[in-house]
Order: sequence, then C-alpha cells, then structure tokens
Amino acid sequence: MTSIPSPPPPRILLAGAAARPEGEFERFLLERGWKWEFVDREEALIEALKHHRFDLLVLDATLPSINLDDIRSAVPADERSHIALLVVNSRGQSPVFEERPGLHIRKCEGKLELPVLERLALVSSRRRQCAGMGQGPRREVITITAREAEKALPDMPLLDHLFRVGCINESDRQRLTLAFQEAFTNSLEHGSLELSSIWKDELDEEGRDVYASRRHERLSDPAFADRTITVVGECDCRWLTVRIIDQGPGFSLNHACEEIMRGSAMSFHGRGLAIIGSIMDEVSFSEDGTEIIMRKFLD
Amino acid sequence: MEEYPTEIIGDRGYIKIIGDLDTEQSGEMLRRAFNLLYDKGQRTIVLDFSGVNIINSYGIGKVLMCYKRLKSEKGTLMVKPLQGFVKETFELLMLDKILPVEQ
Repeated sequence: MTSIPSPPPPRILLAGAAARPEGEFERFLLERGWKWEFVDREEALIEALKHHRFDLLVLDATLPSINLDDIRSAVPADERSHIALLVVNSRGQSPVFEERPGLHIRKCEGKLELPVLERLALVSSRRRQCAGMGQGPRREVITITAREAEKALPDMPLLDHLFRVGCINESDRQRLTLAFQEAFTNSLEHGSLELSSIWKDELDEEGRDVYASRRHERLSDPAFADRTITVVGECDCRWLTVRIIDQGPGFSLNHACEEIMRGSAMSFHGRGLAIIGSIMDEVSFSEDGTEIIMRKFLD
Repeated sequence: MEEYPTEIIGDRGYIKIIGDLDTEQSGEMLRRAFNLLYDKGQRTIVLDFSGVNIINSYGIGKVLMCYKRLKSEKGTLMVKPLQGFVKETFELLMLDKILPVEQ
C-alpha cells in the first residue's frame, strides 16, 4: 500500500485589517508553520492572486475601495484547483461570490474565527495534495450474489482510499463502513432474500427462530440465492456516494416509517436505517425501492 | 478471545464486552456470557461497553434479546456509562430510555 504523506502546510492570503496576522492569530500561524502573505490594498490583493497559488483567501469585507468584479476574476478556481474563501466582517454585506467548481466559500459575520479558518485551510491544502497526486474522482462497482454475500460482506476499497489520502480519519472510516454494512445487509436480507423484519420476533412451533430458519432456507434456494446485489461507489475528496441495488421486490419507505413510528425501542424495526441516517448526510431510495442511495459530504 | 469476562459482585452480574459488537461471533459470545450469569440466578446484569467502538443493528438486537429475557423475569438489564458512537447509537434508538446506566 502506498503511504500518503500528511497534507502540505496551507498557503494563506490575508487581505484587510480584520485578517491582519497579529497577536493570537499570528501565534496560531507561527505554531503551525503555515505560509502567509498579508495585503491591505485591493491592488496588492489582485497581484498576489495572479502570481501565487493559495489554499485559502481570508478577505475582510470592509477592505477599502474593494472592487468585487476584479477580485472575482482574479480568484483562480476551477475543477483542477481549489481555493477556500473566508469572508470576515460580512455582516450586512451582499453575497460577494458565488460558489463554483474549486471555490468554497464561508462567511464570518463578525471577526475571524480561528477554528473555521483552520478547517478551511487544511481541507483546501489536502485537496491540492490530492489533485497533485492525480487523486481525482474515483468509481468502483461490485456485483455479488446473495449466496456469495452471505459468506462475507464485500469490502469498500473507496473508504480505504479516502483514508489513505487523508479525506477521512479512522473514526469516519469506521462509521462509514458501518453505514455501508447496514445498507448492504438490508439489501441482502430484506431485498434479495425477502426476509420480513416481523419474523425476527417470532418462534416456530418447535421454538426455533423463524427469521434464522427462513434465511437458511432461502440461501439454499437458487431463486433467492442467485439474485445479485450491485454496489456502486463514487468519491472525490469532497463527497462519497454509495448506491446499492438489489433484485428483490422493492422496499417501501412509507411502510417502514409507519413501523418505526409505531414501534418502541423494544420492537424497533428499522434500526439499521436509523443508524444509516445518523451517519450519512443524505439517504434516498429509487422509486421502485430496489436501490438505496447514500451520500456523505466530506468537508 | 473466545469468551467475554463475567463476574458477580453483590447482587449484580457483569459482562465485559471486548471489541466491537457487530458480528455473529460477538453476538454469540454475548449470548453465552449472558446465559452463564442467568443460569446462576442473576437477574440484574450489567453490560460494560467501555471497550466497544462500534455496535450495529445486529449487536443491538442481541442486547434487546438479553433485555427481553430479564424483563420477563422482572429482572433488569443495565449498562455502564456509555461513550462515543455507542452512546450516540443508544440515544438515537432510544435504548437509553429502557436501559438504566450504572453509575
């Protein structure tokens, strides 16, 4: 496995009085060994943007004689490069810039907030590193039968990739893996094998777990066991999307929601869905209910 | 590791869960540890999750099976103070409403 170095120190352009590196802010930058340049006039700001690449621009919205069109033209941002823009003193100011590929904008209505600055700078420098290493969008597709999946859940190499390039930490990787496994298990058991959650609470005449018995039967029946489950994973350093498609009869979210609303924690079906929803930023289903789409924003 | 450590202190049985509670193997270990204490007559059992990072819906199902079995005997299933993702998951699924925390 290739070892990915830590993201390079961010390069920061500071423009205007509210972005002046002094006191606590200066100590913050020195302790981290970050490179910065300070300007207090619009002309100097535009010159700096033209001649150097920065990861983060901290712009005081009250910079005198500010010409937004000139600055907008000078900020280099496209799909290949990334720059974060942090606007401070933005209270009462109309929107300065629109987001576009490669340009990520945050605003502080009042003074500069160092935690916000730190996060933006590190994310942006990490993206620069990824772009430099050719780490663009990635896609992988895995197709597996229910019979094969029962032996071992498939891995998600995309998560290992995101961890290696520093887009997610170990805790994120564990949680995303959990969300994936919960969704895949739902597709396998409730989709491909058509196992009903209600059976989990039932015992048959001989006291055996109905759910486990039927699961075993269906994994021996080619009509169920040969059904396939397809996992489509796509990511870049800003987002991850995972789609899981099964060949079952389709899942009814409305029906599941009714069960969840009626149930107490005791007979709570839909625990897996609840866990998925708590980890991912967006969860949706195809109209026929055979596909779950999960998205996580990595910013 | 093949078994979760158990001990009896006073009127309570304790199960120390080690590693994640997210597989058939870990679920089976919990079941065996629970049965060990239950068969010794323990009706207040405390699950120690301090060593657990991840619990999935399968693991929660096993915890609920322990809860139901004790409840049917007017017993109590408790947990040691939770933290991290396990705590978040318990609160999300409202398990903190039915499983008291042993302080």
